[in-house]
Parts: sequence; C-alpha cells; structure tokens
Amino acid sequence: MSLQLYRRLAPNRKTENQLNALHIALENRMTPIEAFQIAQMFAAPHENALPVLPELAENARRFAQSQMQQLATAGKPKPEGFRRQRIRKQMIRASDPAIPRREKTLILCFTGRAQRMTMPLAPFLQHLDASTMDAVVIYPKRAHLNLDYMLGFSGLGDNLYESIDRLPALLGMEDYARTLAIGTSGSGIPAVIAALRLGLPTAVAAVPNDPNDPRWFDVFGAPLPDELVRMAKSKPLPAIHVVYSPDNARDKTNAEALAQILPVSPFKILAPNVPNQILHAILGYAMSHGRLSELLDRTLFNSSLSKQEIT
Amino acid sequence: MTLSPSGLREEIAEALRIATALDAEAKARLLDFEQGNADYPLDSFELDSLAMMEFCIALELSTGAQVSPAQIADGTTLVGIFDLVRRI
Repeated sequence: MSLQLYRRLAPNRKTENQLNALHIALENRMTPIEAFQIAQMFAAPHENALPVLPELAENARRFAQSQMQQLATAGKPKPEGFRRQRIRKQMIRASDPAIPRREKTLILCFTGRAQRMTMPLAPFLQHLDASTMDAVVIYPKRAHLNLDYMLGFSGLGDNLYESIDRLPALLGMEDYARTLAIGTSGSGIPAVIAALRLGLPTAVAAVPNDPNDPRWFDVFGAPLPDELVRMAKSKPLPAIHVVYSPDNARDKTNAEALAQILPVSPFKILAPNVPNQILHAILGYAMSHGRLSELLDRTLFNSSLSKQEIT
Repeated sequence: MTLSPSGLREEIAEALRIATALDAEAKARLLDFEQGNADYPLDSFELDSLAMMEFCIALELSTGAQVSPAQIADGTTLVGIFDLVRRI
C-alpha cells in the first residue's frame, strides 16, 4: 500500500521539504513489510525508475537506506508480518490477520506529538512478534498535538477518559489473551491512564510529560495526581515502567514526579553528554544502540516491578 | 511571498511551535524574538533531526522559502534564519 502511495505522491514533490514531509508521514504509519518494499525499490539498479525528481534522488535514497538500517536493528531475517488496517481516524491496527486474537497480546501504542513513539513505526513493529502480538497505534489529532490526548482521540467521547473507556468494545479487547499499553513523551501519561482504567497488567511511560501539568485540572476539574491515585485504587494496580535517561534533567524530573504519585519501576538509560533532544527520543535512541529489544523485554513484557538500569 | 520583518519573525516562530514542544522558558524566548527584542541560537530550542525537518517544512509552507535542514549550520540563530529566508 505505502509503495503504491509513494509511487503516486513522490513525483509531485518538488522540493526537499515536500519530499521530507512525505517521508515523515510514511514513517509514522508504515509496517515493516511496507518499509522493506520501499527500500527494495531503491535497491534496484535502474535509477530512471525512481519515482522522484532527479535532484531529490539522493534524499530519497537516504530515506530508503534508513528504512533498512532501522529494520535491521531488530536482528531479524525478514520483516514481521504485520498488515495495517484503519480502525478510525487517527487509529490503525497492525496485525497478522491469519492468527487468531485469542492467541495474541494486544499492545496499545499511544504516539506523541510527532505522531510517532519517538521512532518510526516500522522498526518499532519489527521489534515485536506478529505471530503473538497485534498493535493498535493511536495518533493525536493535528489540532491537539500539544494536549497530551486530554481532549480524547479518534472522536471517541469528549476527553481522554471517555476515549479510553470505549477502547475495549471498539478493539475487541476481550478477544485477546491480554492487553498492554505504551506511550512516549506526551502520550506516556495517557498510556498509564489506559492501564489504570482498563485494568491492564502493564504500562510503559517512556519520557512522560509532567504529571503535575495544571492543564489536566483545567480539563478534568481535578489535579492529575489525585485522579491517578483514585483510578489506581479502583482496579488491580498495573506494573508501570517509566523509561528515561537521568542525563536529561527535564525527563528525570517528570519521571520522578510520576514516581511520587504511583509505584513505578524506573528503567534508566545512562547516556552522559548526549543532547537532550536525542535522549528525549528515548526509544529511537535505544533502537539506534541496539537496545530496544532489551528495553521492551524488561519493561513492556515484564509484569514485575524493579529498579533497572542500562548503560 | 513578501513578508514584513515582523511578519517573517512571526512565521519563523510559528514554524518552531509547529516543529517541537516548547516549555514555558522557550516560549518566552520565542516571544522575545517575535517582538524583535532578542536573538537566540536555534540549538537552544532542542530540535532533533525530525523536528528540524518539520521546522523547514513549516517554514516553506508559510513563507515559500526552501530552506533545507542541511542549510542550517550549527550555531545558527533565529536572526540567522531570518536573514537566510530573506536572501532566498
């Protein structure tokens, strides 16, 4: 699907920025198979067949190469067999439809304001197992990018709580063996809220935003910490893993603030002298250092609570 | 597209707001720049490579100027971006 889309849209991109915009949009939605197909197209020797203007060919080639490099970080011989299906606006399901849901784990993936989980979707999915997992990827509405899903998502209700409460029926969650949640940056807290409200066993909040952000009060009429504690008392407490680097002062402060409210397991990535903006893209940073599988195994797929640290 | 100096500063600031999440301090710096009172290094807004692309895309959409990430050298300031766009 994305290959056809690329062939159709790329020739109309006249500038580097226009082509970059297409690349970013594709990276936010492509499955591993789709990323692999685009990379393969550029690996073919007939440059004349490339669907981009000649002056943009190098840019497009770098994009294709990066797809292969990112997929390779999972260390698998072929792309995971996820197929993309649109569920609603700003919501897709990546799954292998040949495998029954009752045998699989559903992973709720809340993307951040950049419409990704601090890394492109294809390599993230490539680190999952399509034979045992489905992923539902949720995107913030364009007009709400800075609101951390407070006003809800995908037109489900009027706020985050209402949106989350409608997920089980919408996604057929009861058909799955279990459901987990992960979110990054502005979607870290929403992933925790999803786990609390839906009684999920595990949530991962990677570089979550500040839980004391007063805007939560403006929307819900109560401070978020109070709401989190209230929700935590109403269902079995999930294992909540908070991933961050203590070398990014703001992320450290936010993670510690969440730990003041709920029992969480910190998963720290030590990386002194790395710029804040690179460390904030924490899953991407872990991927580029070949540590994403380990991170996911020790957080998302680990239902126990403990202090963890990698360097 | 011809923009007044204040109009161009506004578009540069808006492109930054689109590209990345800004904390209160960064928002205040940006407002300073928009009002023509100060200049700040682009690095101080902590754009990663994706955000830098988003910044250039937003800038091109609003001003028509084709500034690519590769054209923005380390240490470039907001006034440097302003001058770059004016030259294009």
